[in-house]
Amino acid sequence: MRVSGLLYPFSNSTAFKVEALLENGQLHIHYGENRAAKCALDALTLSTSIPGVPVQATLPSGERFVPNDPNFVWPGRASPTSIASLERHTMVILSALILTPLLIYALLFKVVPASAVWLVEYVPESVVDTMGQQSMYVIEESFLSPSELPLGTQQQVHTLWKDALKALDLSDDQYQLSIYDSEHFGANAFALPHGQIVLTDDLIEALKDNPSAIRAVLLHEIGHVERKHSIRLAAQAFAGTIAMSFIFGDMEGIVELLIGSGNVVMGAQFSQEMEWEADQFALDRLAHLGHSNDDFAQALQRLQSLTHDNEAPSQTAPKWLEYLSTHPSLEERIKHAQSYQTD
Amino acid sequence: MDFANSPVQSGPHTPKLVRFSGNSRDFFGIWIVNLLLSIATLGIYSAWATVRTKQYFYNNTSIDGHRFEYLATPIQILTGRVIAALLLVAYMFCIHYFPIVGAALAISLTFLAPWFINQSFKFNMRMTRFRNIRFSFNGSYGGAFKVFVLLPILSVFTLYLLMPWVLKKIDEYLCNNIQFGDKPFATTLSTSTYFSAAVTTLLCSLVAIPLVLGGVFAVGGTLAGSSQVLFILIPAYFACIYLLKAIYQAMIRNHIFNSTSIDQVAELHSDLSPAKFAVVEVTNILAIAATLGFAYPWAKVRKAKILASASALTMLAGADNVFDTLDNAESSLGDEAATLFDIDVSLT
Repeated sequence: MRVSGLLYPFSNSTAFKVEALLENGQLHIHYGENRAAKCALDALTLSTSIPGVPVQATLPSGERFVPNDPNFVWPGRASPTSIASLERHTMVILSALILTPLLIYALLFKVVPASAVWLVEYVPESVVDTMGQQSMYVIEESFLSPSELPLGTQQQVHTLWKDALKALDLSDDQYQLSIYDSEHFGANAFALPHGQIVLTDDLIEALKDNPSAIRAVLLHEIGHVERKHSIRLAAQAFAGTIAMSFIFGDMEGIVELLIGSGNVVMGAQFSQEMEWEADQFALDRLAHLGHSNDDFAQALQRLQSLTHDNEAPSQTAPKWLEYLSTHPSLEERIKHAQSYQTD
Repeated sequence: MDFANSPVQSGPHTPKLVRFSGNSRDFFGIWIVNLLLSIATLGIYSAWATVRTKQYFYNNTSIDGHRFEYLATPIQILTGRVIAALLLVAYMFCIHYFPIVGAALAISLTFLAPWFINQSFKFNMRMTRFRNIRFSFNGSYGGAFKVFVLLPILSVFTLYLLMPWVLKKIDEYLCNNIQFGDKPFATTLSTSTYFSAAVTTLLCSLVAIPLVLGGVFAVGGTLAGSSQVLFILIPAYFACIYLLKAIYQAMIRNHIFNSTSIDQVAELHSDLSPAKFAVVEVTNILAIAATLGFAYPWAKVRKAKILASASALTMLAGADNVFDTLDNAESSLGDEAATLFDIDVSLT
């Protein structure tokens, strides 16, 4: 068999157009003036096979032969299960087209969250404390101002809080409640990983005629701390970033952006899941302490009426945008709270 | 006709066109299988994926029938990536949990960066071969520190007015330290071209941004709802960025190529039209976004074709007499030491 191609002598930029002769398991190439290269076919070092790229052969003596035909197959060297044959196979390509999005989904929504849950177990207490205190410092400086509620009202909330802690058998070393005024957050409550829980003036104002609802909100926030949600969120972002950069490292900007937006949706889904967990925690504890699950439903309903007052009805977000929201829709949460049954 | 007695003639003074012979069908198969296996192996295969992609693009780029080659092995890429990932983990961990250690680390990274950049260029050049001759990169730490750390910091004090000059210095540093076998590259760049490229890009942005915004409003978009921002403003923003980047890159690429020669071997030429390149880049990015990424192989091949067809080389008399400095027997000891660091510490 004769194969035309280019021959490159060892370590030198000259090149020769040649016809290689493949015969009886031997390769013969004559080039230049009376120069020749020959060796057994088995002794050739072949380059990796890639669709559309000719497989080059390097001789033991250092010459390199590149066939002109990208589809040339070296006799006795074709392996039917190589990666290159997968890359050429239409059925493989089609199934990869379907499998890849599924795997990306599984990675973002299953593997990364699972590894975050696993990571959380290994985060030491001191790290949790530092993280919480530093976040609190930033939030306090940027968005919070001292509470403007009458001391009496604040005292009532603190009493509710102490009773709830005692009933739940939680130490007040670990859990602290603070009340702040905040234009930025409006009527809101949040929990920091080291056990600090913040209620805003607006929230207490909105629920002041219904202390049981305030207690339900407090239980929801305690749920976030007990289930280590902030740490999980940080671990999740961490694991997500590492996985993304490691797996999709050499994609160009826009692909990273697409996958990055997948990461955002995942973060939002994850956060929704944590809200459900905290809701469940609050409902379980309410039942456990002999209060009504309706306390929590009422708190949510009050919050809902507040947001509705501020928004024109036509402005409600389209359904699909809920996937980008960090909280499940209030309606669903109210429904869930109302239909809560103790198992 | 007897092929065997004719060395390939590199006729002097006839520019040889660069050719890209890849096609999007072949590359699509490579890409999708790479992606699938990379995810399925949690990133391990991405090193093999990188090598296969580079080999596909290098081997399909040819000058006068001679193909480029990419020589790195997947293990080298994987090692570099694992090290980079570990550094990233350590760095992110410190930033999150020990801010002071993190700050110290950030400062020491500033001093390590020139070394990493040099190492990466050395690796990538050594892994590139053409006509059996490898490229090499000889940049020094001091040279890299000057152009990548010192000058950019100084340009801050000039309100970035000196930035085009700094970019010129960076490109000069990179080009002048490349060698093809035993023949060095020589590049003399002009500061005024860098400034005029920057000004042209700036002027284009003054035209492009109002035009894009006008277009958005013309098709009835308002910037009120978050869905509008998500589906109109963000793509428009990216289209603008790619447009301006392409215009600048085309002008600078032409200038660098046309000012570069390889001693006795070749002169480089490029006549990439900034307008055409910008159209290709913007339509590429929109196609990728519209197909959720699946047009990526097509876009990458299309770009490689445009770049290749805009490039040419004039071969000089010495083109056949280049010797590989890296394969010499006496340097094998040095090679052994080099292989210890023969990795590109990067995630990309």
